[in-house]
Amino acid sequence: MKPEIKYLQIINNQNNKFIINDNIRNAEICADSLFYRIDTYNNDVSSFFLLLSESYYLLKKYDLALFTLLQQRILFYSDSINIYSKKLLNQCLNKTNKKLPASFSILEKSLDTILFVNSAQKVDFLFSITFFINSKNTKHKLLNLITFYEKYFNQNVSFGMAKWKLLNTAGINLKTQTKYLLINDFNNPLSDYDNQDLLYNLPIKLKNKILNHNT
Amino acid sequence: MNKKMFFIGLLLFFASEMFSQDVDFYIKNQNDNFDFQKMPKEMSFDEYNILSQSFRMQDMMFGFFVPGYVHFKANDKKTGYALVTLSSLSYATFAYQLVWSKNNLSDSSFFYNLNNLSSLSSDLKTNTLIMGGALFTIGSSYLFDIIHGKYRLQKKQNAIRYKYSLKASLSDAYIPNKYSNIACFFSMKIYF
Repeated sequence: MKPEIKYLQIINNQNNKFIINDNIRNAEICADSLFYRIDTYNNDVSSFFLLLSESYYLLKKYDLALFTLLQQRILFYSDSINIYSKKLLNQCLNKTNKKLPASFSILEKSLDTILFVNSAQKVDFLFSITFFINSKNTKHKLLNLITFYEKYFNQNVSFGMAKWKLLNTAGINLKTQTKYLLINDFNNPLSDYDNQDLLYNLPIKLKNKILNHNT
Repeated sequence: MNKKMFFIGLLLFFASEMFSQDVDFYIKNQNDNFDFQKMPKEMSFDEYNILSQSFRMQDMMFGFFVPGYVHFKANDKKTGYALVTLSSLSYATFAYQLVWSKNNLSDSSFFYNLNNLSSLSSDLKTNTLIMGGALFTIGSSYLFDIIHGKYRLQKKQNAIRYKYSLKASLSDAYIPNKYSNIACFFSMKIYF
């Protein structure tokens, strides 16, 4: 990871978008491998995510930059003392402000004080926030979170994540997903759920489409 | 005496070059076909493919027949397909205008009409201008494919080399030279 950090520092300072874009694939491999070091307190990890989000910001992919910063703040050690990371987070929020719900601004202020019981809750919270960023680019990140959750914690995913997975596998649009997947679904503590529970409030056409796709 | 020395020297020269029963000036070991290189772990197959490409004269020849060939070689499919559509449209318009002119207009040649545009009728003028435009797009797309395609390929190769060589130097890892343990002494290779 250390050569990756040093390399990111060098290319971000050069501000050459071609080289930054070329390195994104390698940096994402490193970021995905860090998932399994969740809850570790390491300065290298926080600096890596900060540099990766900076490179996304330079490429004008503000939603992915926001995701990496949130990933670092929620899953790993929170570097709230670092002024530059706060500034970058605010800039990313301003750039993606059209797509975020109003409640997110309240959550952002309380990120430093949120207490989680276990790391599964952290992953669930990160999933809910990335969903409400509401962009196509974060779709593969959400899928990665679900696969990591199932492998690492060896338990069923939360209600909101399962509902999103169901809608996504049926090929539902992002617009309709945001219409029928609400904050209450992510706050639902139900662990033993069925397909009927997941499709409770949906219209009949959508239900049939999902069930036909899944069978 | 001089002739004898000349032939002895020639014999020694050939003896030093011969490692097999055949005369072999450019020596190639049998195992070069599966001489596996030491690669960085993170390198993808696309990057390896791009690095192993080289722009040659035969690519210029192939690019004449297959529009966008060099861009496809450099894995730049968008511009490749754009060049394919542009070239095919220009070929089609040229062919259509040629057939239309043979059927409807005089038997004068295209180049004669180009040189005497002012003296032509309006139909013939538009016909020659369209055909000239189509030829121009074909030629310019070919040149663009070669020049810009080569530039794109070199840029991608340089980016990949820069990335992995800089990361290797930043990691302070020792990368051994492939030929560092071989010494050549006349017709012998000494390994140590």
